[in-house]
Amino acid sequence: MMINCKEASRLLSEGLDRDLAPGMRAKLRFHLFLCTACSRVKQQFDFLHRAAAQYPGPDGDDDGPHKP
Amino acid sequence: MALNSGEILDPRDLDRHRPQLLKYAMLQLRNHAQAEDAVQETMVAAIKGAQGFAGGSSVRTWLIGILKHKIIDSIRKSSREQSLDLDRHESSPDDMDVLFKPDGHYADMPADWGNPEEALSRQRFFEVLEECMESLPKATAQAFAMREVMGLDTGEICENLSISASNCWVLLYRARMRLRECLERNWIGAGGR
Repeated sequence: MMINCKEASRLLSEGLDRDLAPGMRAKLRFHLFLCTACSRVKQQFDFLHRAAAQYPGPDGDDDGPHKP
Repeated sequence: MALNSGEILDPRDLDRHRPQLLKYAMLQLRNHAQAEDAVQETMVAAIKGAQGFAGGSSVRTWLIGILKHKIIDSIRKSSREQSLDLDRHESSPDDMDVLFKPDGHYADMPADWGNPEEALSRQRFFEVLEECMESLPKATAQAFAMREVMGLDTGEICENLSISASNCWVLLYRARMRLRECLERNWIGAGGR
């Protein structure tokens, strides 16, 4: 059974918060292999993760960029 | 300039960071009185523990580290007193349907963000991110902030917000989808990169 982008987007997010069942993980990986839209969304979720961890961003008036 | 460890922190130097700390606390608590309290407690803890400040990181980074604990305490306290009013709209992912066609494809093709890493060195990017986080519904924003800004695991978040794990995943899903869309419109689409 193939999953669609809507289902894939949900699994992409949940995969960042818990371990997906191996079957789900395989379906997601297969979908990502074929789907440009979802591959972009995956990269964007990963970027969002890095960006949020660095919020509130560069520390302009102390000692240079804030590094967590 | 970073202070060397052992150097005494000037309370005026702490005060300079108050607006930024208040914004940070407001984003996660969505309640002015609670945010003010968390920042005030942070300032008190900072003055008491000034000798615990070990150069290396900036004063702001150090203050935010203290503030995170105060925010979590505050969220825990308020969810104990009154269970989070998670309305039906926030606990169901149905509002994500508009982003997809009936066959499950994206209604609007997600854009290619290229290499967005450079944004992380720009203050303006974080202002856009902040505006996007402020536009999320309350519990959605709180769950996202605890997960991605503060780095808690979902178990701790569910416990702090007194919600189920599946509700938690829905909140985080909505947050990521909405923030993705918001950044695409207001940063990537606005030529920020």
